[in-house]
Amino acid sequence: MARILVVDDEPHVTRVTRMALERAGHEVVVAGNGEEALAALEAGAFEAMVTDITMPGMTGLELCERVRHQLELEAMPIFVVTSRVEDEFRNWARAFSRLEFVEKPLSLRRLVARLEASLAEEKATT
Amino acid sequence: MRLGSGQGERFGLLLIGSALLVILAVTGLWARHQRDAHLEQNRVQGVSLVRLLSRIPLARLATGPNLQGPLQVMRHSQGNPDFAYGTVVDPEGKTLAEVAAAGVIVPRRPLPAEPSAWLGERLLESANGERAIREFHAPVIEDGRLVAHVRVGFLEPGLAVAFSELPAVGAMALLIFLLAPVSYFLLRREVRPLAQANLHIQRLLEGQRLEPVQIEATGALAEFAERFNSMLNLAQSRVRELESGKMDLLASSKVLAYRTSRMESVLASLPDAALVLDETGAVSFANARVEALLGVTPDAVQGQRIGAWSPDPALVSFLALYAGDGPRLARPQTLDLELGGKHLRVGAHPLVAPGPGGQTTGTLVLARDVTTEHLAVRNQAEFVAHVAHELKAPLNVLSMYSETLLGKDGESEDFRIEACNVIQDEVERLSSLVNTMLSIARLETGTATLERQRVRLGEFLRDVLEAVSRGGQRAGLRFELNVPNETPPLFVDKELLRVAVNNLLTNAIKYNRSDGTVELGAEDRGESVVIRVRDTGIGVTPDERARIFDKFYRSEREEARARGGHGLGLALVKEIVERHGGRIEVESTPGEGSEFRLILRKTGASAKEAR
Repeated sequence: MARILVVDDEPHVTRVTRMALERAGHEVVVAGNGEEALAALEAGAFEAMVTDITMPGMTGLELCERVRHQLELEAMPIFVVTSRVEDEFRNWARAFSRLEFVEKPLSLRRLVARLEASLAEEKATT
Repeated sequence: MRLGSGQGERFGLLLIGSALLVILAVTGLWARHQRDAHLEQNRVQGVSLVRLLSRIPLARLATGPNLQGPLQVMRHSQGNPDFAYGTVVDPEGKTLAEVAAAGVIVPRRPLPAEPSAWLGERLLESANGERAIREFHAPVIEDGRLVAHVRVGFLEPGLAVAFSELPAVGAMALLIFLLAPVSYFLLRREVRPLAQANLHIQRLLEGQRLEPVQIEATGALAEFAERFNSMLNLAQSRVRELESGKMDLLASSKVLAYRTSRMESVLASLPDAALVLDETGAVSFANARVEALLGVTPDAVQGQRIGAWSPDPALVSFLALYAGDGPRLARPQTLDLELGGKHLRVGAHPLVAPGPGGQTTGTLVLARDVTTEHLAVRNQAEFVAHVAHELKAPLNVLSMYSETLLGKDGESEDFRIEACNVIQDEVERLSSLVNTMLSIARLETGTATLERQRVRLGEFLRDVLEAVSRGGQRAGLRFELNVPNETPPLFVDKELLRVAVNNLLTNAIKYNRSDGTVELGAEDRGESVVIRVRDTGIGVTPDERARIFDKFYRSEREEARARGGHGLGLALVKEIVERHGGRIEVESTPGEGSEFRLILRKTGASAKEAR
């Protein structure tokens, strides 16, 4: 069981993502935008984060940068959900470890599987 | 061919003058010869006389003035008209005997003292202008002693022709005088062909023609004329060759000038900036577009190498590949660069002289403003990204809900109902997005033609508001319709205008506050009609106002984001109004509300529609 932060401005998305992750036995906290996400991360520890890119205000990419650099959560696996994996995203992502892109439409089953694999890997290395 | 009359007269006079001169010279020579002969005769006589007389004993010589002495004998015996005097003088000069011609005074002149000079002759000039006298003298010696001198004088003969010789001289003069015209005519006959040739040549020179000289001549002159004519022929053929060469040259230079000017006018009228660099890399031609695209005047770059004027180091190093000092590229290449806010595509094309192994004679540089294309490509990429995002967002929700329905959560009745509603909403969202995109695409590419019809504005607006307001009323909104009783009919595409007004009303509902108002109004402004949609919603900021009609533009504001939407609605409204030749305006106070106005002309097709 892990504590996971789900960030998306689309309530339908967070609703079903939460359902899927909770059914897999994880604890889910939902944030509607970047600011809320940063506040949640500061308030408590999370084993992983799933975030959308396109959000009002702070984008998902900006959120990732602040998570890694500002909050220094360098080991926490991050899953970035995007409708299209642009070259510029890939170039940007090179600077970060343990960051994966998940392309829309999202398969919840696959997301859960990748997330759990990542968590298992993290557990094995520590 | 004749000699010119003036020339002929001059020639005749010259001949007569020459004949007279010759006669004069001949007469002079004759007279001189006569005088010399005379002188010689006098000398012979004089010498022989004085010798003869000096041998006569003095006693006989000096016989007194009245006696028939030898002097008298001598005088009478010889008929020389030049005889002046004969005298015998003693050594002291005293006259012992004397005879003299009439009018002649015997000059008293002492004789030389030396014995060697006693025998001789001397010329005695007269002091008073009379004829000179040539005197012959000899000593009279008796018993070895000088006793006297014999002197015989002759008048010095002058230049005169003896009367007796006149016929001979006259005959000769006549002969010479008669010979002159003969020789004149003979000469003239000989000279005539030359004169003809001269005249001919003169006329040819005046007419600036080269033709064979036609003269009647014989002998050497005929040969000369023949050779002269062959030389003329040669000259003529050379002149023809030169003239035809000159014509060819002129023609080709005209063709060249025409081609050059044509090329230059082609280059000048190009929409691109065109520069021609010569072999040295200096600009030999620049058209007017250079100023707009490269920011330098054509005059300023003329004759300059690229480094001297180009403000862009990338351009300088690119063109150095073609016009630099190092090895030069022989194939064309392009360079994209940004200069003065413009995106330029610069192409360098080496100019190769025609023919095999042609040398590079320079470089043609064309710079094109690709800002529009550049922006279009960027916009296209952005558009595609937006479309992908906008399509995938509902698809994502559909996918996640359907997946959840298949799992354990799908067993919950509440979730199944929720999921069905969500799926229906998302499908509608997707469908409306696709329809809107298709409408925009059709309007933008001009494949959609307006199906204009007469529309009664009041009724039309009432219908649209009624259809839209049903959903809004649920949210507690108030709807107002402010249409004058008498509204002019519009000639528009009813369905497209319905989409436009519908979109404006949908936005007015979507972005309104919960107890707000939506007002739909119309106003007759004479030539145009204004359809107005006013709301009491979140409003539009000045920054947003410039962009809300761009495709896929979404406000960054959370209050706007929270209401969803794909950012195509207003873009479509704008496109529809513009296709009708109208325009859209927006007036807004953030936090208080907005008013969107569609201004449509009552009649007439727009330019945009006509495309």
